[in-house]
Amino acid sequence: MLIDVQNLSVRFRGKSAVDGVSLQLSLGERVAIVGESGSGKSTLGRALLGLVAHPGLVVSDRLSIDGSEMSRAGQSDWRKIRGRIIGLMLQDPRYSLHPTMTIGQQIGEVADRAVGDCLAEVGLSPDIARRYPHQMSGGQGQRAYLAMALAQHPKLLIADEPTSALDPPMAAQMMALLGERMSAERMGLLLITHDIDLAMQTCPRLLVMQDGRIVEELLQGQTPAHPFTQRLIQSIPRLPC
Amino acid sequence: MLSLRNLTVAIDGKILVDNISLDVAAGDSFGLVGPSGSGKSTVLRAIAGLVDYSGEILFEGINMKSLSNLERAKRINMVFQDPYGSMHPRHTVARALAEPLIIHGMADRQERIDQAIAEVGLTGDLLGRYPHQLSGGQRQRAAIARALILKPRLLLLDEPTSALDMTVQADILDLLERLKRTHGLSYLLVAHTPAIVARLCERIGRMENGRLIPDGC
Repeated sequence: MLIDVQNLSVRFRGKSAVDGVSLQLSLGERVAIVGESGSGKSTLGRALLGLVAHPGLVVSDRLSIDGSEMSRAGQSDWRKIRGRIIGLMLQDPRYSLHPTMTIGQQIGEVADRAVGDCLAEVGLSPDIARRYPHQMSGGQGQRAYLAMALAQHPKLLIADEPTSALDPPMAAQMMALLGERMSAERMGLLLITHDIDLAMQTCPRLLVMQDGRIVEELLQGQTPAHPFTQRLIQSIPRLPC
Repeated sequence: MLSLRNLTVAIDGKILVDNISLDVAAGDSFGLVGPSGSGKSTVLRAIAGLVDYSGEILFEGINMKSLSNLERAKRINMVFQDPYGSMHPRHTVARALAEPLIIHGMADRQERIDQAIAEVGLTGDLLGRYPHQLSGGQRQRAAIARALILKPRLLLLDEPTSALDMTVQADILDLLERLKRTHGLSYLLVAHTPAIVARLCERIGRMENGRLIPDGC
């Protein structure tokens, strides 16, 4: 078991953003957390990386990551997890990449192989290494960020809305690339998204979050039972013809 | 009602919209789809008078260039993707809605504001709030109310739901569908997702590299 979480809550000044969540993830598994803005899905993802900032308070009965119990871990322990065991990919590369370092410098900081090879794996040409984040399109930036995350060979990638800043063709390319790299690296995925359609296409297991709680766990092919999950599915825009 | 004739927009020598012609009949709606950077939003911005263009834009036979900003706003209004960026952060909803009415010297302001807010499904107690005190869906409803307050006949909708959660998006689409039916409004809608365009528009055109490729559903 890569991740084993029991009864995890995250509180901000007495208000629970995540409320008693339990979650198990096997090595190489693909799971999606689906919910709307404010449901706590991103906060849960951050708690799995020790990234909940003050005044947030994380409490749990168990928070085991790759065999290490992290519920009382300090930042130096979390640094051994971040990047190497669990990578994180955020929505908008304009904010997640360092703005005054070239892509080559940023990947070079963490990679154990040539930057050009890392870029090639995500379909970018070697000359991208000389560019700064603002000199790239959103899709290129997101690929570059993925190259950096993969350069450390994490066992799991937490991707928090990795495609919502991209237009649909770019988003589809990004998801195809993610799937391909995950298979090649035998890496697991925790996809955090508000798009249940994308989640169902990508992951065989879905956890639906509402108001900080997991209200339903849905396996591929199962019919949703919870009214909120049903409403999410009804909200998917469909072509009439 | 709306006719674009050889509409071309060039900024710094780069052609963003390349010789587009299209017609929208009264009560009909037209959807523009296409990748980022294909010029969809620029077409809307040209109609709204936000960018210079060559060619002709006619609204009910009148050349838009001959209309003042005030006259244009009574006929055509626009709703943007992210109401966070399009609403004044330090104006309350009430003030945002009152401003066009004051500019146009309308008398029955409170009545119009109450009506507009009810029409988009908001309650009166939100009138005193600032944009940051609203949810994304409430903010977009307020932006739609503001666009409708002068009772225009055409709304320009630039990705009106893409910054919203899926269920909120479904609610806003329901609202736009109802407003179209009850007011006989026309929309010129820009969206990435063909399914969204198909819900609101009778006709669809695809844009690529500034050119319009007629399509249909």
